[in-house]
Amino acid sequence: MVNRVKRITQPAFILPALLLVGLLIISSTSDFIFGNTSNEDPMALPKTAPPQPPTTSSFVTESNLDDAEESSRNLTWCDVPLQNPQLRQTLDQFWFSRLEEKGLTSPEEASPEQLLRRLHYVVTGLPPTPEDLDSFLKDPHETRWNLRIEKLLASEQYGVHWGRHWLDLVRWAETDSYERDRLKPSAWRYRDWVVDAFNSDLPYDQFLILQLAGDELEIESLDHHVATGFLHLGIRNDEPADPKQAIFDDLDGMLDTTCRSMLGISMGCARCHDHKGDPIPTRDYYRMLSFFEGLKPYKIGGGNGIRTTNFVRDLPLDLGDNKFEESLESWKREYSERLSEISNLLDEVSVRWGKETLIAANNATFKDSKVHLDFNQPPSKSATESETTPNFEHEEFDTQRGTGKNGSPSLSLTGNAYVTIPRPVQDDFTISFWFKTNRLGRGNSNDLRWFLGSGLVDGEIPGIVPDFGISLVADHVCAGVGDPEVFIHGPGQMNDNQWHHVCFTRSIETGRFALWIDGVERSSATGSKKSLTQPEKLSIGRMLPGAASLNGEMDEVVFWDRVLSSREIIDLSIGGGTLPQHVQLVSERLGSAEGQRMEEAIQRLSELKRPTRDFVQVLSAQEQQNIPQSYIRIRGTASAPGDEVTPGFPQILGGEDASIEKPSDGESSGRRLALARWIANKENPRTARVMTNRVWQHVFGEPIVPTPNDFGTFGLPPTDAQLLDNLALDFVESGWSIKSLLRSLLSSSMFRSSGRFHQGNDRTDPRNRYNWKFRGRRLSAEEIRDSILSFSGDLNLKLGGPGVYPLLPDEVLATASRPDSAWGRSSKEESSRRSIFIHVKRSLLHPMLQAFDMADTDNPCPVRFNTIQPTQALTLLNSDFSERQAKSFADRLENEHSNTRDRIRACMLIVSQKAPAPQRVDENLSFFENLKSEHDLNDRQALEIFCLMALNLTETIHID
Amino acid sequence: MSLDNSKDPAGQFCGRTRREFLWEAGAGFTSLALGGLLGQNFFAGQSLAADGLNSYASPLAPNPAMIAAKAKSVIFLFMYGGPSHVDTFDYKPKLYPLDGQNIEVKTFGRGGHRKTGRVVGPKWNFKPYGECGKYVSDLFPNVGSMVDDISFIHSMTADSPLHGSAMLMMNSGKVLSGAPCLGSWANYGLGSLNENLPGFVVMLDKTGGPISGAKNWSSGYMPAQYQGTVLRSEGVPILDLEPGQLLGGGVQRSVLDHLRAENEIHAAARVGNPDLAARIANYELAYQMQSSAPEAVDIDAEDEETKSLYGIDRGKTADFGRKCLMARRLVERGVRFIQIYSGGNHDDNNWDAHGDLKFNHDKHAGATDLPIAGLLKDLKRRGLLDETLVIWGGEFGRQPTAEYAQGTGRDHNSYGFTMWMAGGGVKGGTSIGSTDELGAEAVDKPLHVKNLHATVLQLMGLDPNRLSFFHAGLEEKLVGVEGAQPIWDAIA
Repeated sequence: MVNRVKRITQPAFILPALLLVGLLIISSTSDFIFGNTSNEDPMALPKTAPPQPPTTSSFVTESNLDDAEESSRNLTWCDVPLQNPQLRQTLDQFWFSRLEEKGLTSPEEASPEQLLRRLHYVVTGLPPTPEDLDSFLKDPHETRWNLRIEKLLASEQYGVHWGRHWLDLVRWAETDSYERDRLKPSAWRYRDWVVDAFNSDLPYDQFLILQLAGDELEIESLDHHVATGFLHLGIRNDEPADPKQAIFDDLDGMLDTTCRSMLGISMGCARCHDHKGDPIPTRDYYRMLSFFEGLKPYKIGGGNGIRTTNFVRDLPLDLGDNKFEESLESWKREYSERLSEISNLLDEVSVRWGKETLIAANNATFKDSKVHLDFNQPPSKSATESETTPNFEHEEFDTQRGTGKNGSPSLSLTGNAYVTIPRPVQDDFTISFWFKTNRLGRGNSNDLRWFLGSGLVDGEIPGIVPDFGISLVADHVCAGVGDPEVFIHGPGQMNDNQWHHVCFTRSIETGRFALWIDGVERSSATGSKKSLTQPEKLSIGRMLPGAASLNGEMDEVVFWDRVLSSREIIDLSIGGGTLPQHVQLVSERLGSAEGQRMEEAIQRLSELKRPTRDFVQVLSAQEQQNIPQSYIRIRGTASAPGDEVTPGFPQILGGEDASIEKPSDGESSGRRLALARWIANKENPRTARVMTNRVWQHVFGEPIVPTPNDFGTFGLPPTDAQLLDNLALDFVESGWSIKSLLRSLLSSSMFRSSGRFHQGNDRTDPRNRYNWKFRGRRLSAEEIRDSILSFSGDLNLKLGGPGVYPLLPDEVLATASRPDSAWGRSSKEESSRRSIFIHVKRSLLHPMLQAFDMADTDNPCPVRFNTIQPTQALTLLNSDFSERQAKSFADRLENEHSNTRDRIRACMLIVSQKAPAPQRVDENLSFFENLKSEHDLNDRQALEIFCLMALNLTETIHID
Repeated sequence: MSLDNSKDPAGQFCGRTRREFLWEAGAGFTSLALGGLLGQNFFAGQSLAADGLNSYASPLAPNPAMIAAKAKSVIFLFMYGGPSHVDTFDYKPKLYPLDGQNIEVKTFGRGGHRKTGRVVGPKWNFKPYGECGKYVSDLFPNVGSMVDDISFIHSMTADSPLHGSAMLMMNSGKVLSGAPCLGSWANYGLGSLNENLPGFVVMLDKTGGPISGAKNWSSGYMPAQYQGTVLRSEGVPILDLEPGQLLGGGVQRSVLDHLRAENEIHAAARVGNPDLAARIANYELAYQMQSSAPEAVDIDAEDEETKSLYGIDRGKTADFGRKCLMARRLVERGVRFIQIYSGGNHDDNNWDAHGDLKFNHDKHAGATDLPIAGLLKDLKRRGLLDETLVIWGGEFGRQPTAEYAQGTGRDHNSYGFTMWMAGGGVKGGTSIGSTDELGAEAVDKPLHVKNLHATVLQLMGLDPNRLSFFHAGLEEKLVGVEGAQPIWDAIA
């Protein structure tokens, strides 16, 4: 075995950090607090530290270490800065020297089959296929190991597996828990983002920054917002007895998860009280909490509602890419050019024949309107006569006038302002109007029923009644007709402060109604075929039952008692001049050739489609404009504010106030970004160590610091701090590349060592602290399920998308308070996706994953439990899933092999990924034959049973 | 665990202990099912926190009981939805004449905080029962006959009058989801007396689970073997217990024998890994459970007189009666903690009487009164009541006033409500604490859900203020970091 020396070694002298750690290990006392030992130590580093990069951070650095001591701050090993030692060693150098020191015999290398299996599971969570095995064994070159590492790291299944490790830490689930256990809208995008981040080897510092404050970065991108879904994954009580406390519970979940996952600190205790000598006093807790206090609360007030608009929004898929703005500009230019072809012709008519020539054509659409409100007259509180259709009176309340699309006055609505008119239509009709707003309507885009929104032109009467209306729900124009209740809606992003034309048509004969936005029919449906007689009045700019007002501008509200033609509607949206009457006029006055030109110009104009942009729903961070003052909350009680606090860092990590810069978009405070930059700082002594420890944990089965979420005083000391520090330094220097860290671990001799027992070593080191054998382990819940699917050939390796719903047994559904609506249904193909893509509903977890110790969904899970309990045997033997997969597996074997012996052999090879010895095949074949004869089975039946047996072998779910 | 070799953890950071870190790190659980091989001592070794000063001890090491146990098992009859205390066991004679009157009374329920309300007089009459003369309403004449064995706690309070969080509080001591349930704590502390059966069993209403479903029997941050197992009263009792199509008809035994042989070959090549032996044993445990679980719940093995005692021969009471009888059989077989839900799903499928109180409570009391009394009587005559703690109650009670302008429905009330306990070391014929004369609020000796939980642990031989599980930097206890006293007055 060749030890690869990564860095040139120089005369060794030990740095305080490493020395301290060394002392800790040697001292073997349970008190591993950093004392005032380093100054006295003759081996201590002279005060000629390598130059530090300029930094404003307050982390304890070598130069202020003494000050830190003088202020009697107790530094635990993990709060001492990572310093570049002159002696850098590779993992194997460390490993061998430790074995040597302890007098332990170094292990031999594991068999190629064991190694391949180990490697595939560690990197991708999936078994190697027979082909993977074959190609590996046949490759005679030394390079085959590293090539395989590269191949697996490049596989997108790597991100699935390692993404899941991260999801364990952030209490991944897609519902809120509690009574309604509501779906967190589009939470799956966060899961996909995590998977992608691992696959693209996003630098770990960036990975952390984006989750905490992706929305606060200067560079905009959809992913940056998706990543902040991290903040919204926790349990959220929809109906708390104390809503204020519940909001602080939610914030506590964010802080606690952040600290445990990223810093290895449990802050839990400090929320309620100080203990004497605590490393984290209560003040530190609330200073840290205030980084999150700018976020909009998940709920407001009592009741059982969740304010999803405070953490869910629709964002353009191409956010941050200004191509859309460019194409919109070029569309506008092109549009006005083409429009001018038309208007030039009409101008010519006007010039040559007089302005009045055009009046008839221009009024063609409007002349039979029932009501036409142009808002050109000043508003009046009392009834006024509408100027164009004097038979209808409208009333205005608190309205004002703004500037309309063409410069003439418009209806301006602020506060609770609105307009009412007697309902002018009921059978066939068309309603047309213009509006613009920069505000979201009431409701949210999860539920686009018109009566939930802010009124545009509304006639809502509660109950199943023949009514109708048009409203703005969140950022969608929505419409509907009652009795029966039928709803339609247009696209989102209508709150872009641009004028939009809305047209709603309804036919009594067919019951068809349609919604046109900006001259394009966006949605239609069939509803009632009766007269819509219910509301006596219609409300403009507000819902008829009151409140839910639109704040913005409206103009040209027109009603017809007929269904306008599409040509007419398009003409309205263009602003006039494109009707057949206009074409006819041009033909008559300027000649048929010009008429032809006019028709073609209209055609060209209508062909020019306004560019659209795809929007997606994102669980994201959103901050309040005015952040409330932060206080210590006495005994953790939200309603008991104590001293004021400002954002700042824990004393054990310097205790400095945060320096916060408000991002230029003004949408947030910059607090979270300040926290994120402090955490993802290479000077932060914990961040790299904590993650390095986790990567190690998932490669070698047991972490170096056995309590990965609790470093330092809270937890157990590292088994080899020097090693951890070396690896952590490598990690930072590689540009926080997790793949690079993995490469160095996976390519080591230590990773390739055998798991074989050694009596002498066992006597010296019974807990295998010095890794004289590789730790075998049971597969994780997801690995077991995914492997079984892989054996049968059913595994669907597709990545991403909303969670899937594999069949759950009725017994499990019966535990829900609404068994019939508790779970969705996915196709067989979708149900066979990898386990990470199964929908995670907190109150209804997948029974097999649960039996095999899936991560707790409500608390960060640093290490999975590894239980052995009868439920595991029962589910693997008797569940519908196991049976189905055993049958599929038998199908596969029958297809691939023609005789029983080959099938048995292949089955054994597939589940263990090693060629079984002929004698073992014989033994299993005789079991197979006995099964047949004893139970009177045919080959097929016996093969299915054999496959089921194979899924239950220890060897199948255990790696060496 | 013996307390004499442990020091008060107060001097340490949150009383954290070294051993529990290893639990956090997952190491403590790898060999649990070995208990099946090693016998009962293993489970005794499961009990609670180490002292933090000793070095790592194997979870297999035997530990004597913490304190003298009075109850071996618990049967928690959970009246989901919240039964009205003033209509059942908390007699309020002054409430009757106020019926229909608007009075000043502070309430907090689904409808929020209110200062006044229209009184709904109790809809049933009360009369005295037993030697203690306890007044019980006509909803529970059969339970009434057992009052001399019951300790009524009239001054219960909870942190939330809303189902979601109140259910979690009654089951896990916290309004936040993610904490282990009472049954999990009991099994964590004591282990099972019969490894062939789950130690924490839940029987649900046939209309569905309570809201939040499995959260109500979750082991939270503890490992999965401490979570409640749903036991069905009809058909196959436990999920995946019986062989499916492939392993039916005796095939399973052949397969298990072959698996064992194969797994032994596998384990033999891997000396020094006790997990592998435990896995082999685990399949035998599962196999034993296949026969012991159906046997345990086979109420057809009971005589007609016994079935009749539980009301199994009557349509209205048959379902709950079956579950109560199954519970007794489970207790006999060493199951530590059994929870039976009366009511499931939503609305009037449980005790949540927002609309028509009379209809709702007649329905649910009618289905449970006889079976509950039968259970108490049966336990008593078999000499099991002394070691079986029976608990009755919901997640909260109900208000003395109406929720709506019309009708008899009452909103939730966590300011004061009644629960009762019987057997298992409880002092019978007693009534503890009281609500005001309207039943609106606990006034005399207010007690919290934590006190109830502390009482249960205490009676089971576990010190509620010492039984802890290290999780996320905290020495978590069922009764909270700050602890709680048992209801000493209720303990014989």
